[in-house]
Amino acid sequence: MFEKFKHYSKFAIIRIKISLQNSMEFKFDFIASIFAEIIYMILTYFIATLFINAIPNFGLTAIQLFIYTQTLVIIFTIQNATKSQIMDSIKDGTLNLDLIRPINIIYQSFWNSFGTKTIIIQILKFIFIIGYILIFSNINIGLYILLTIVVTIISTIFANAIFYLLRSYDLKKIQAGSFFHRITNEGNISNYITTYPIYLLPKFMLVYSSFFSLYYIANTTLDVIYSANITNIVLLLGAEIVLTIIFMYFANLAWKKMLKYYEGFGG
Amino acid sequence: MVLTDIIVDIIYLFMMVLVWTKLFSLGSGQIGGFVLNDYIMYYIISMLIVMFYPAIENYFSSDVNNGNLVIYLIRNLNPMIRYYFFSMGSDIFEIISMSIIFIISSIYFGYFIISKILLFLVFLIIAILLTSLFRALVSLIAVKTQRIGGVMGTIFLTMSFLSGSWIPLNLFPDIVQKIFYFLPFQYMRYFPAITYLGKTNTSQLVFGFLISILWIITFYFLFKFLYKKAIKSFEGQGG
Repeated sequence: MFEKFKHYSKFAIIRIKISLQNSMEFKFDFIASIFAEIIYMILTYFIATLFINAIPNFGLTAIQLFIYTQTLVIIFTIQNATKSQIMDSIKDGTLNLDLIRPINIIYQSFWNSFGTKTIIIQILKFIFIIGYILIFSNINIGLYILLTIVVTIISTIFANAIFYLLRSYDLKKIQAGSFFHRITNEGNISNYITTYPIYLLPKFMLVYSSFFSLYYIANTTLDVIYSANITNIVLLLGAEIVLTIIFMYFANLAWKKMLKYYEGFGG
Repeated sequence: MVLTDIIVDIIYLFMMVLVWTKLFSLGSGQIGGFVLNDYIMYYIISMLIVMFYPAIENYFSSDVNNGNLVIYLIRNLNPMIRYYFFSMGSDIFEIISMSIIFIISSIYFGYFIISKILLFLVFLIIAILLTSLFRALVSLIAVKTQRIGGVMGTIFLTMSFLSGSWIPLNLFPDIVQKIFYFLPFQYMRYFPAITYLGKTNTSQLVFGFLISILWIITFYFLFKFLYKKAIKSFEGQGG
């Protein structure tokens, strides 16, 4: 058991190192990416102010809207920085090499595509937001930090579980996995939720989006920023954990089944 | 994948309609001088315009990094025009589907007037020229830095914000809107859209036309000058 744990952690550390080395090879690009985030934050704050001025009954202040959207972007970006392009590894044959290794294929795929550069930038941004909250807002900072970290971890597992469940169909070399993933990921609230608060969505969209992690990220963040309602937060986290476990179970099942199919065809 | 792109576009549009309907129910009958139908049409036009924008920088940086740029240099060809049509070719079905949505919604909301469509087409061509030249210009950075993700991120964030992609520019304070008239960015998206919506008067149209033509000429000569320099630098690196 210990030996297995050692093997797995070593694999993760090596992958992070490689990813970091690749990013640091192009330092100018790394600095430019940080600069892009700074510009993005300034523009988002400006938009938040414009919205609040144009629509007085918006429900949030400009500062609250800014913290809300930025927190969501941080969590969402980290979540996406861990998703792999399994279709590419099938096409170029690297998946066969991964299958030979005595490490779980999903675990490998996760670390192979771990975007260290993106995650470092998002952590820097998170530190900036914490400083901003301390100076300009009366949000419970302890609760905010704790919940953002917890929600990020749970949501990353949740999103990856759905991702691997849908992408398992890629092993059949059909585009169904990719199709469903784009429809469910981009077609849900992800594009809008980072600009508009979740409560602006109509009820049927809220029901639909409750099957995706972003719904829980958005509502938990909104609760921390707006009302700090602990009962609500606990209920949301509980629901998210239950759904995560269900999706993990089905993702595992689907992968095992599709891998058998893939191997049956000489993959 | 084409079908997926079209479905995702439709869902995006549907979401924007829902969100702006809700925002209007919170506020008065007008936000920033626009009614709800104006916002819906604005996002449809905005999505249609953006589909004509080529991803020149992606093709160019990839050709610089894998050395394929040499092929164009040997043939004495400028690769940018080729990149434009590569990009357009991959988006053609999305353009057709969005054009259908644009025509149907224009008729439904009562914006379908031939003179407006002709005016819109003029400013659409200007927008395409302006954006293509701008993107071609910034893509030259790839020769110096190889990886351009971060730089492009900064430039395109600013560009999309100033061109009215995030929110229409009419929501900005008057003084900021006046400054935007002199910059090239609003002519890439916002100006063609509001021209179609009938939110511009004759003097604004003439001024907008002249300023955008001036920017096209500036970008063109700047690109010619910098392209020569970039190619020299590329050849100096052994390309």
